[in-house]
Amino acid sequence: MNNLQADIKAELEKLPLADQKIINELLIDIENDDASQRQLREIVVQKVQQMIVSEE
Amino acid sequence: MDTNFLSSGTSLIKTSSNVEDVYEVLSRELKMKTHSIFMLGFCIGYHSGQKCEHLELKGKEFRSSYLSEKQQGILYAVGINEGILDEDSASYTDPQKQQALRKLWLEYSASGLLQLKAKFEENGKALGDQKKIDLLSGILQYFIDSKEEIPF
Amino acid sequence: MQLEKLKISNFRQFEGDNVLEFGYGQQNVTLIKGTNGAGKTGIFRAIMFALYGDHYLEQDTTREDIHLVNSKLLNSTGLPMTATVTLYFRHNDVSYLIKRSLTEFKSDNKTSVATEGAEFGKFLADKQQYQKITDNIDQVRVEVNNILPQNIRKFFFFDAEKLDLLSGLQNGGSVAKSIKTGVFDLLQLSNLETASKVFNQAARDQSKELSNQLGDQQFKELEDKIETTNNDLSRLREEKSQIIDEIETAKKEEELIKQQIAQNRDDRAQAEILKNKEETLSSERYALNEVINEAIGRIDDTAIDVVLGSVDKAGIKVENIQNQRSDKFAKAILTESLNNKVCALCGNDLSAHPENEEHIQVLLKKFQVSEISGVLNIVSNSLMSANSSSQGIQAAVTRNYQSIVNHEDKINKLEHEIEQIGSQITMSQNELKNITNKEQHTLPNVQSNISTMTEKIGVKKDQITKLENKLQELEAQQEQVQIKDNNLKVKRDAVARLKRIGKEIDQIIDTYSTYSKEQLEKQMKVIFNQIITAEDRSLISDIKISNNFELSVIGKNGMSILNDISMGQSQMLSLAFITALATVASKGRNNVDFPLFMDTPFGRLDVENRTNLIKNIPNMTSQWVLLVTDTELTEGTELPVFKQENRVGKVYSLNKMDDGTTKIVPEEI
Repeated sequence: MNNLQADIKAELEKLPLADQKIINELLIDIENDDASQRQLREIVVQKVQQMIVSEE
Repeated sequence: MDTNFLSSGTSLIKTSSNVEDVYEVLSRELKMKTHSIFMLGFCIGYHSGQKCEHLELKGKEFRSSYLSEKQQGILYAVGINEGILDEDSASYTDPQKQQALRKLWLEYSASGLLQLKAKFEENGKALGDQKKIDLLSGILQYFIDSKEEIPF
Repeated sequence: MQLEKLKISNFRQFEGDNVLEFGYGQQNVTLIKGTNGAGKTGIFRAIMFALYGDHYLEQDTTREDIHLVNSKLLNSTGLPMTATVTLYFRHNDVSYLIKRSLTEFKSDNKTSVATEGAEFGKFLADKQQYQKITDNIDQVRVEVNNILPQNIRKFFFFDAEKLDLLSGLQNGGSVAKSIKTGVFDLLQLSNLETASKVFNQAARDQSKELSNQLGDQQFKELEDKIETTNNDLSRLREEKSQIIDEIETAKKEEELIKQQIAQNRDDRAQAEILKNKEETLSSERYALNEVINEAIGRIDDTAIDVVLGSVDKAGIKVENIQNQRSDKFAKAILTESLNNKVCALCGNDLSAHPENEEHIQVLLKKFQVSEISGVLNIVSNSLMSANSSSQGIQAAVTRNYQSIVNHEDKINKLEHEIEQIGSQITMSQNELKNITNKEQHTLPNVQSNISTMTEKIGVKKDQITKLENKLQELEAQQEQVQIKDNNLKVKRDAVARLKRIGKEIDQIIDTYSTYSKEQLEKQMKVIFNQIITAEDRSLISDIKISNNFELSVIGKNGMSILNDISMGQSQMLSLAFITALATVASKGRNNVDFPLFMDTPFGRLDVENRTNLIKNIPNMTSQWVLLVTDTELTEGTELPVFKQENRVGKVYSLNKMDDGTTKIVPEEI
């Protein structure tokens, strides 16, 4: 997170908390650059599904 | 024997080589025929009363029959004026007289052309460098000057 | 990123070990002096080799001739030799080391590369302990790219004399695109773009998967329709953005032509006058020629007129001769008298005196051809004709002469005027023709293209809106489909959520991209105003950066003047862009602190520009490394400013040895 510019961070903070969390985690994964795009997709799908289940 | 010897088809007039450059430049720039240049020189020379007696007849030549009747008339008139031709028809057919008359014409023509050359070169250009307009202006100026001379 | 130390071994002209340290903090300027050929570019090469493994620089034209291993060693030993460059730098409060080596050998007069190696590592805590991170060349590239992305290095490491950002920034070409990518990287927008891709693609994948698992015919049909609509949408959007690109290019062309037309209005007005004068000249020449020909045609008669006064006496003699003869009168005179009904000799009116007319008729009958009468007739006719035309000829000669003089005067005057006007016209005939052609043909074409394309955009927009509505409707319908399986229900909700998050990210990218562009523009103006001369400041009224990161410079007249600015001005603009970019990118985080590395920085600049740079650049970048020639660092101009500003941390001199090698020697300022 500390790599992101404050302005972008501010924009992100306007989003729903759950969305913020998942985006931030993805951005860290992208920054670390140790997963392929396919893997990244799988991760976000999983997280979103968990999020929905827990919301219910 | 034909008294009108200028019109005889075989009669050639050889001009002087000391004015050949004038013939060349007038022929080249103004497209004048040799006989016209000869007459131009003659008229100017005779009008001025000056002859050029050093002739070398190795220059351009032309058939005298090319001269117009008017030009021929003037040349004969000069013969009569100078007393070479007279009422005796023999004076027209005598080869010696004809020869003397030709020499006279050529001397006046050469003198006239030399005067013209001097006139041309007044503008500072060499004769060979004179262009159409320079030459024509020179000739016309001469014509105009000749009429403005104070008669004596 | 802050450069600390550069170690060069057997690299290019640097034989053995050479070390350079870089100034930082308050003394963040490093001066590296050297005559031409001493190896200034060699230092530049060493840095680019260390960071990116570059064997060549962008400015190299003949690539075969450039080898990195010291050639003196290669030639003298005949053995494979290794060049090594080690760069020490700090980034995010960590000290790093990057080391690259290259082994070359020579055979048959040809130098070839044998092996190449790279290592990247960091120092722990107090710099005592070194930890290697990787020695895999590809991995090293990834590491460096994370610190200073390769595609923006040209903003920070460049040969100032060849700095050519503007030509790339102005015409919407691939350079502008690569700059946009570079800027996005630098501003960390590229990570967001990747995130957007991940969410949007995941949504599409999931939706498809859901459709297959559900096995519901209605759902499947809707899914197919959604997919087709999505494909159509992306195709339309692509087409639309292509047309927008084309319109931008066309508008630039339109503006350029308009500028050319405006600039050349004076020339073209002059050319019009010139054309008229040339036409007048041509008709004057024609008229002169006519007069000349007329006068030449009259020379024969005029010559005779000149001599006429001198031969007139002959006329009397001829008359006398003719009188003495039995054929007293020339036949022509008799005929003429009868024809005119007036006696040609005495002037008697023959119609009043028929007896005289009878007498003439008798004489004519009696006329005998004499031997010389022919010649005499020629003479008298000639004189008569010459006399009668004399006045007319004289008048004509005077008229012709004056006319020639007049025409000549006019022609000379016209020729002089034409020459003068011609010298005022700076463009060639072809260029003028070209501009006229552009105004009459190219410009209307471009303008009609623009309006056609604008209409097309409108059509595309309508189509896109329709498809977007359709998509929304299809998605709503899909949501209405009853799903009994709970797992699949979750999946469907997930698809919707993924789509939503994707849209949220797109929105941020859009906002932030516009915002950073505006910041960049604003910052660039501030910096540009600090470094340019007062004269240039009055010349340039605005700087604009388009959404595609294309640059335009607006002059006082409101027109783009990018094509008119000097090399020096262009260099200052490029510098302003680079420093503005670094400043904007640094906002909110302190690790976008890149050194500015300039080769031959002052070559094209005047004193005022140089002074402005020396005073301002150290405040705008974290480090400023200058490779300068003697002429760029004089006691009279640059040195006093550097001393006064007190920002120089390190000074080195590149000393060229007799054997062709160079030693790096530290100096005091």
